[in-house]
Amino acid sequence: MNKTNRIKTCALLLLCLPFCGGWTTAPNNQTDDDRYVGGELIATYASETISYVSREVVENISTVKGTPEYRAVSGMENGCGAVAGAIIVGFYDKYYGNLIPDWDSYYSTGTYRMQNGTYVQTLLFDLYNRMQTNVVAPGVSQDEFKNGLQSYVVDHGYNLQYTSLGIGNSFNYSAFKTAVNSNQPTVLFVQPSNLYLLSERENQDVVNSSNISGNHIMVAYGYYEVKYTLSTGTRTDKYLRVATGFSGTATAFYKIGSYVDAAYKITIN
Amino acid sequence: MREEDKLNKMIRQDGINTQSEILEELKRRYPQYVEHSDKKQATVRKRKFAVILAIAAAAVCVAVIVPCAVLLPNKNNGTDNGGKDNNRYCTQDDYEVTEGVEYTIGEYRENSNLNFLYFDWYELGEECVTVCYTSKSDNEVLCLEERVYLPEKDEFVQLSITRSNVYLSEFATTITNCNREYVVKNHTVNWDINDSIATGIFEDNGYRYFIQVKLVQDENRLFELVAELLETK
Repeated sequence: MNKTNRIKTCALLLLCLPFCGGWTTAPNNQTDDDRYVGGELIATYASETISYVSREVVENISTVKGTPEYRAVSGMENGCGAVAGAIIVGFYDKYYGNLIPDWDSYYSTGTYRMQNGTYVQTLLFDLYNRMQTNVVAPGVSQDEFKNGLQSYVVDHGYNLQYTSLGIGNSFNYSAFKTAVNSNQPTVLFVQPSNLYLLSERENQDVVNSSNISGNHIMVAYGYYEVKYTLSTGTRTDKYLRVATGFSGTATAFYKIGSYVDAAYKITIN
Repeated sequence: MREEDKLNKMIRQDGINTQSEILEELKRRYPQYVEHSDKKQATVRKRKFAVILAIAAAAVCVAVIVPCAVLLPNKNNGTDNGGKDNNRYCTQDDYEVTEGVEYTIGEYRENSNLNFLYFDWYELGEECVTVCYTSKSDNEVLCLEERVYLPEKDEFVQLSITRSNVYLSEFATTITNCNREYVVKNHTVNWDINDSIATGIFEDNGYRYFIQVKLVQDENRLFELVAELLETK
């Protein structure tokens, strides 16, 4: 290789250098080894205004009083798995009181209590450790989440079953509705995706979209279907209600039809 | 046939075959042409190389230098008040959130001699949790938050207070979505209601207040609370 060619080669390598990171990134094939780190909820980046002639809420069902709305605290990097697990434990503590010892997760009205700096924090860190968060790699895998939560529930004297409600684009919405109707929450493993907030105005709904920046675990506990009669026809939007685990936006809608890595109905007895 | 090829053919007919011999013969016979041709080729090579280098430099610039130049000043804005922008922008990585601190917002206000507004709701709520957001870099309290559960109404109310120039990423969605306006006691309240959660934002005397009421039928309850808070002045 003569000098000119060497220089050309160097220049080409230099040209390619900034893009090497992109080339070496692993392809986006989802496997059980995917890690869930939670990320951050990116502020509303898009809004859609639906102007309607009439609006009808077709279905609006949730588990009894929803779920608790816990969130990560300081020292829980990539802790979305532990937060989702704690929401599940807090939810079932209403029915199986030893799940969170010496503390009730609900008020006398049945409404779930706010996050507690002592008991819920202890629960969060217990799950964080049981799920081996950040041990192998940042965040948790599906198996680490499932094993960690199961271990906690079994150690407190109860049984836990996971029932798959589908993966990818084949989320079993009908089975999910049955679960909600039976007062059972579902844990969702999702890739970076959108959450929605629905603002009702006069003859208009404004749908605000926010984005979850990383792979995330959250808890779905209800469904909401709204049918719009527009000047040009009709439109029906279907959402899951989710406890996001994010502070600031503790609950939101997740669109049915969005891709999910996995969804498991959780039963504790 | 090009002029150069014609010359090559003529030289080969004289029994000269290797490329170097051809070049030497050309130089001998047509020194002016060869010199010009060499210079032209060298100029073309230089130009090509310059173009490649320019593209490479531009690519490096776009991929590495520009993002750094854009990100660094943003980060500095968060901690340095010496610049033109006195606002402080913080992401979740910049602060620690402590749930259930030992003091209430009322006690904090009294001890710190600060003049922000707060709800004296400690006797009314079944449970009240105070949350403190502290800067990791300088330990400054960036936000105080109090949540209370009012069993009579089966209602959660949350009050968050920051200085007017402090922006926490946690509230970015709320600020963006609260784009309706309503005036309460001469204060403009930016508000919105989503799925039984009403949220309002207003500023007073250098502080920004976020009030969120959960499990409400309409926005009137939110405006009642804003008025109640402003009456404590």
